[in-house]
Amino acid sequence: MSKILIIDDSMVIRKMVNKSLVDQNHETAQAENGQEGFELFSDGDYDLIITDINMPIMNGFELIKKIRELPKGGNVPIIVLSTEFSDDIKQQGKDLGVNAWMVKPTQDDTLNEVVTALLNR
Amino acid sequence: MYDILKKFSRQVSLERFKSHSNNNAVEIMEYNKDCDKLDNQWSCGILWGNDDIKGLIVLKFTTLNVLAMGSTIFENTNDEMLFTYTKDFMKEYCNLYAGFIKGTFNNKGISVGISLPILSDNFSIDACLGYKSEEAELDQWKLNSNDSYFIVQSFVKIEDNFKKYDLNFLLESSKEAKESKSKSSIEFF
Repeated sequence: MSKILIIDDSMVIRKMVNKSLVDQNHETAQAENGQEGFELFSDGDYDLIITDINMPIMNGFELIKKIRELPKGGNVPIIVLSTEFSDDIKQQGKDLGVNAWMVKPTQDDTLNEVVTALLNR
Repeated sequence: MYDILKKFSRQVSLERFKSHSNNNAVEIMEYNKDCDKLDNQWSCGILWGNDDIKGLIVLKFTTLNVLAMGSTIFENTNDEMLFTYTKDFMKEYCNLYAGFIKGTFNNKGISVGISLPILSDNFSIDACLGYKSEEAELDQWKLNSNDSYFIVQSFVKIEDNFKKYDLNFLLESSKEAKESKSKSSIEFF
């Protein structure tokens, strides 16, 4: 069992992702924007992060940059789950240290495959 | 130019909603302003574009119709949360829809942005557009499933600088919108 932080401003997406992960026996925590996600990550101990990009208050890129600057955030796997699929936006994510990029909408089994692959790296 | 955009926008609206709602029975129907009236309606809007093309997508819906159209998504949802979830569901749909438009343009070297979605029960189109809606080209249609529906309005204003682009690539991209559910785009870095 791993501890996974889900960050998305959409309740519906958080609920779908959460269900998929809990069904695989993972423990989860949820945040609705980057700022809240950063606070949870700073205070907790997470094995993987799944985050959206377009969010109010603090977007996904700002969040990833801040997490990668933390000593404990340097190696944590980060999955972006976003509607964004422009090549330049994905490159921006890659440069910031994103490990995998998934375009919404996604299926449960696909998400679980990516989560498992990154946790086993 | 507007005709290509209309075809593209309609197709993207349909395919994004089918995949978001897990409902393949959804179809496009023409909007009839005399017959299609929704009581207690909500509006959800999202802006997309740049200095030379300005778009606004507005969804007009009732929570009851959305519940019926996306019933599999709302299974096992606490009754007290259902109406909140339906509104959030439509905001996310706005994101999916405008996000596909943005990605399609950007990957052809035409940089466009999108806003965060706005939800309201009292929506001012002109305030969102920043100009009078009569200046924009309006297309409106319904997405319908078993007599439940919502209305999609697409406002687009094209400036002269934008007319240099050939938008035929949008027709190909709308087919990609249809296929993307099975493709499940993933990239490892």
